[in-house]
Amino acid sequence: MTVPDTAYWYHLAYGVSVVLYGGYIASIWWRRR
Amino acid sequence: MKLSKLGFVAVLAVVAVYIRVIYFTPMDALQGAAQKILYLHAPSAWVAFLAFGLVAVTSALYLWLKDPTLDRVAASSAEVGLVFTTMFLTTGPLWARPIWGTFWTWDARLTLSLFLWFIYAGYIILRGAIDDREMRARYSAVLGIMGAILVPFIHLSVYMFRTLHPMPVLLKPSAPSMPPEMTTTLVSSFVAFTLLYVWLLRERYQLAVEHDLREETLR
Repeated sequence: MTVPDTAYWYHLAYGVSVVLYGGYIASIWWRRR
Repeated sequence: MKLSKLGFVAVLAVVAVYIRVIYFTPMDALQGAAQKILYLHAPSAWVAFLAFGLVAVTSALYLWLKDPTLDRVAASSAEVGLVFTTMFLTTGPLWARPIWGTFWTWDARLTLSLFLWFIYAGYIILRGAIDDREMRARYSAVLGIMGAILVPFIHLSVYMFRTLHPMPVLLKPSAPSMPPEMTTTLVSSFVAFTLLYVWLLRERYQLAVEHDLREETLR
């Protein structure tokens, strides 16, 4: 049995998480500066 | 905003979890790499529910004690909770597409989760729309409590309705339904994201305090 190649979605999800959490941290920093 | 000790530990914990997920957690035999989205999706949902739980508790206490500190904690927790809700509502479809063959299905859990997002987005819009501080705190406290009532329904919806969404693998009475390496990664991700929440909540609370002080001096 071959494992399906779903790496694209995994990379996309982790990329989105960095942008979203990083973006929110940046937004708090921006509002508090 | 300086990076506090807590912030440093929280960011380090999240980075450590990402490294563990990428390099030290086995790939699922049926789903491949997409299954690793679990380590983002499930802890984000847990933190969102925790955040809205705190909104409900502090809002109820506000209605009783009328202490503005409680209102600030509720407002801060709601905003941070909305970010974590956005996270699990984004990673869910990205995981569903390769496994279910569709980004979205209108079943009970997904629909209620989207509804939860709209309630707390509405909560933030409501806070921005009312100038009177006491009225703003009172109205948003009621909405904050009502919104959190959805949380237990969302958690139990997979047992109550027919759904494509899998059952909990960790937050359930019986033993985790995963191999130990995966369970360790999942537990670590719950701890790391909870730390991230506590740090973000503290920073957002400070912002609320500064905002209120500015509002006071402008009067």
